[in-house]
Amino acid sequence: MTEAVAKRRFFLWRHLNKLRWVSLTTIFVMLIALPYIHVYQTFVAAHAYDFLAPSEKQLYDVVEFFTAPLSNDPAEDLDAIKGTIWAGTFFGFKLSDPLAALGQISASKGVYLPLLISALVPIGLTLVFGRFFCGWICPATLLYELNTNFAAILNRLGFPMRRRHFDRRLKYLVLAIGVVLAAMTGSALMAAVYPPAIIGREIYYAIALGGFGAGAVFFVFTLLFDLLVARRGFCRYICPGGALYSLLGRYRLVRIQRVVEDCNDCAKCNAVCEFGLDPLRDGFGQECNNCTACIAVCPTDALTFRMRLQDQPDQGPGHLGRHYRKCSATREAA
Amino acid sequence: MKRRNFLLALQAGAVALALPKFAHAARRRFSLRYLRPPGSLPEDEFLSACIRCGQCSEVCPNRCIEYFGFENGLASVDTPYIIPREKGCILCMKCGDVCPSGAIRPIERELEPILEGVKMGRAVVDETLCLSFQGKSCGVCYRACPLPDIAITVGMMEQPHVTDQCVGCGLCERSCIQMPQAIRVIPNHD
Amino acid sequence: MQPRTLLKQIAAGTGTVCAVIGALVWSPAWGHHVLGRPAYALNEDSNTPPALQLEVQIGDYFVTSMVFPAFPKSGKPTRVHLYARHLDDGTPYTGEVRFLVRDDKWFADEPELLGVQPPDDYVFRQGMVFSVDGNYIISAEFEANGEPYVIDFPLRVGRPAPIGPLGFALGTIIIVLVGVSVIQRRRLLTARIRHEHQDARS
Repeated sequence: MTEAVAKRRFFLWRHLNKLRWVSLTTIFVMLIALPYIHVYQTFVAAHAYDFLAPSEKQLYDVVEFFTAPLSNDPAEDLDAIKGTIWAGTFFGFKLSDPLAALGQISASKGVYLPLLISALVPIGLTLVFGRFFCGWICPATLLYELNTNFAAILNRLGFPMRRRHFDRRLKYLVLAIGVVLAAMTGSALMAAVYPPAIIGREIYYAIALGGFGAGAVFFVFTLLFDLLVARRGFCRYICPGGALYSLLGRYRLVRIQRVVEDCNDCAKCNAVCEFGLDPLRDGFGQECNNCTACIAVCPTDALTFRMRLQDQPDQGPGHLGRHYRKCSATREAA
Repeated sequence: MKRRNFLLALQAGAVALALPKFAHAARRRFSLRYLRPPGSLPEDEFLSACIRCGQCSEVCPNRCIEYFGFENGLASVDTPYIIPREKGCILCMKCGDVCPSGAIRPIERELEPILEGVKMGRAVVDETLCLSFQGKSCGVCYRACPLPDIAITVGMMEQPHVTDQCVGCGLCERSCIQMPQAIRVIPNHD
Repeated sequence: MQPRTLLKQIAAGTGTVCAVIGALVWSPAWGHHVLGRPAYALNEDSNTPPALQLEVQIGDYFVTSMVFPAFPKSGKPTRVHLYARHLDDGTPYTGEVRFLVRDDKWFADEPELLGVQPPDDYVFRQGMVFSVDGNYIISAEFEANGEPYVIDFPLRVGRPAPIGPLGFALGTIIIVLVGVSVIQRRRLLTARIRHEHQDARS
């Protein structure tokens, strides 16, 4: 017992989950702010302040207030950050989702090197951190997790939500079908069913082009699917991007692992896991997105980060749990 | 509201065609007249290269680039287009710089590369509508052209004549004071 | 003064004037349209209000129809222009065009006749004033070679609702999701854990 207390895990890991929420919120706010900045830039470029409608003048003033300290020439300087999570430009450096590169390669049956290069940074990070994109960056994750909370509240209020389970390998099939269809139609179709791409695009459409498109309707359906059919069902079973990231992150270096000596079998980790994994029995696998929700909820700090290429096999019941004590008692008696 | 409204209008036209009552009148297929951004690949290659990231519109200082819904078929959902009568391209060439997919190739913003690489379409004057050809000297399209005397020349009564150098930016169509416009850009991508 | 020097002076003067004009004409600042200068078409109050346009290929004709202004208001004069051009030989249609208007709803009343217009320089122009804001459909009907042609043109009069039904639905969803999560954040974790355990048991 004393030994376990002495080996307390690095204290900051518990708070990573908060940092994750900050990251998700920041990205979502940026996705809303960028279209407004773009609209402001077009007003600046047109030298048309006097022709603007009152509401547009208001927008101009507000954005100018926030961006004036950052730029001398808004029409040019504010081009530094453009795009969405799907593909963006960051101070001249281009970043794209690996799924975008894969989609283009399958649709055009050729390789456009700059696009592939722009996907290298996310690919490299995924090789090290696994499917972290799904938990830390994807703007849809923010809404999906809030949606999970909503389902829990509805359940508490007496409206039980169905929670069906499907085969998690379904999403790899979706990815494969997407690649084949893209090759057959010559068009990157997966962009139309990939929530992070949809969200960035639809927010832009709504703010700068005056109305949501079909993608918004699709996204609402995924929310309803998650709420009424399966918890986080889209990410767990359908998302082609999640499938690609899972495959890339199969041999990730940074993993969450259970310290069996500290575990008391409370199973809170399994309850909070959005992807329905099984940390209690060391079942992380390639699906884990290192979101750290299980670390944050663990009452005995029995979950921590480890650098290794594979999960440990099932370590049996936690040493602080009732089951293990019963077993050891019988063992001693024998 | 503006763009969506406009496309609704186009769709409604298509619906009118599809009604069985007028089926015998609809012998030819309804098609949209739109331009791809400057420097775009030919249509088929464009569709397979574009990853639908939406950055081309986000850098466009003239906000002339919009995105398709289902109006133009499933393959071109979320791909960029320009309707020149609504807003023409000002040839700033930022969209080619920002495009990560190579669907819009980067072109330097100089006269020679633009004449060489931009082939959005070509303007065509409808002489039955053009005011200058009706004896009312106008010349607005010539003044709107970013490449005057290269892409468009004017003759007597400022009658416009489009040359082969026209890149199809659509600023002339945007500025035409006749309603409907007497100069139209015929897209190059078909 | 000798005629030769006079000639020289005239030539020099003309040359200078030409050079100045030439310099003005060729310097970029004198260009008709500076590359990269955006067109002003920002909203209905800007100096060049856009027109709403419909282009459609129907039967033998390519029909262009336009409404001016693009953002019509009730009580203000509005015009519809129509121009039809034969697809094969490019000759404009020169018969008469009937313009009708009806409400844009599922079970609309009988359309109201706006007028029958002869061509004016090949363009058919119909003026009108809407008394009530709303959604309308303008139909233009004409007959060519014994075939009827009908072109429908939806038109919004007055300002549309700032948020459409889809925007409203999405806004509500996001507000509910965020609101619930923020207000109930303490109870949520226990609720989720209990929920999951119930699930595992059942």
